[in-house]
Amino acid sequence: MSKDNLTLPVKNTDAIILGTLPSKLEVVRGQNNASDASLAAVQDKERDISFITPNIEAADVHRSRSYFKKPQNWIGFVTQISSDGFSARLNDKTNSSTSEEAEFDLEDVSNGDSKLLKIGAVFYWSVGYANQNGQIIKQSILRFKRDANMSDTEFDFLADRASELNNNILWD
Amino acid sequence: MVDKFLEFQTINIAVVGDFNPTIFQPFWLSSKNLIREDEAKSANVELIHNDIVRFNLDWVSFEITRNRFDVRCTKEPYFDPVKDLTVGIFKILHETPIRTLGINHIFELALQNEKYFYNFGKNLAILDLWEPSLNKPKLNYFEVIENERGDGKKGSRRVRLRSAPERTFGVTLDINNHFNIDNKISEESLVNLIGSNWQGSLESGHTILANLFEKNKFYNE
Repeated sequence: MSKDNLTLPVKNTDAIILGTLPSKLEVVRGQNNASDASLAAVQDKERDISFITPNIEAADVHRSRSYFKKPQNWIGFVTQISSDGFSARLNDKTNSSTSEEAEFDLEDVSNGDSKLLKIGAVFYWSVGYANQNGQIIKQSILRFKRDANMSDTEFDFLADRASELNNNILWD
Repeated sequence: MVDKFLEFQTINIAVVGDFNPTIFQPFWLSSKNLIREDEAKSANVELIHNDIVRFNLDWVSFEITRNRFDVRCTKEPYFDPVKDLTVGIFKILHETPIRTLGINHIFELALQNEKYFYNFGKNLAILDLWEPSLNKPKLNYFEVIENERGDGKKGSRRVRLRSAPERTFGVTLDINNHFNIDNKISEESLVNLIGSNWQGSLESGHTILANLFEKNKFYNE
């Protein structure tokens, strides 16, 4: 079978792992070097050129009716942790001047985020209506902020900067 | 007023540069602590290829080609995590050559009835010009650009409106918030650019939409 004429006999959730594909993709890609979100047409064209109708469209959850409507969003900072929950200061994202205190159960934290629960940890909390393929569900989502581990260079830079700021403080 | 017509919003971060797509896989993200391990396990991986990688988690979809990194999210509670994820990736891949950044907003609107839908287009373009050459002309697509950003940053913005037949009286407003990057090495320029423009970009997207609705007045006629 020619690599330019691949049919992908896979189900939606299968990974497709192919070797080097001598492709015509660059021709299409060369036509667009912009950062906008409307490259779907070009990407569809890429797939059309490379593959004969792989059934991947149906698996794309983001092209289905799955979205969140009118949520209320807060950014939280953990202030206290107890055996069954934690307290946090919440800043309303739509009204940044509003700050309030709230208590959460440990059960509100996903297992994958439990290691991130520390004093001072930042989390996002939202309440709103999710539309999952037409079904409206009232949801509360709590997710802890994740960041890449700090590199040595970044650590050194921040340490130097802190030291510089400290040295510049004029004490009375 | 906007809330009455806004169905949902999509955020898209697009980075143009030179990438090795096969690096970007769910378990790589999990190994770097950027997503949860169970999210990596349940990721829907569509395509892993030297030229293109596509997969999605429950809240974000990825598509990476050799010259484009593209993430998008339709669930507003995850917009900030999408930003954190992108920043985290490019902190790790700090030697990746980067040329441009787009922080893009797509608003999916439903204008409720035919009269609103027609008026919205009519108030954007003078449809009378096309009569009687065309029978009952309607606006299907509209694009406005600025050559230079008003905030002094290098780049431009482009706003596109198009009818969205997948929704009843649907309209999609697509705002491309484009930044050029002088320093072609990513870490400082890209990470700082995203960090310093994220909130402003979200707010300006809503402002553009709100101003458009206020001035268009399609619902008052």
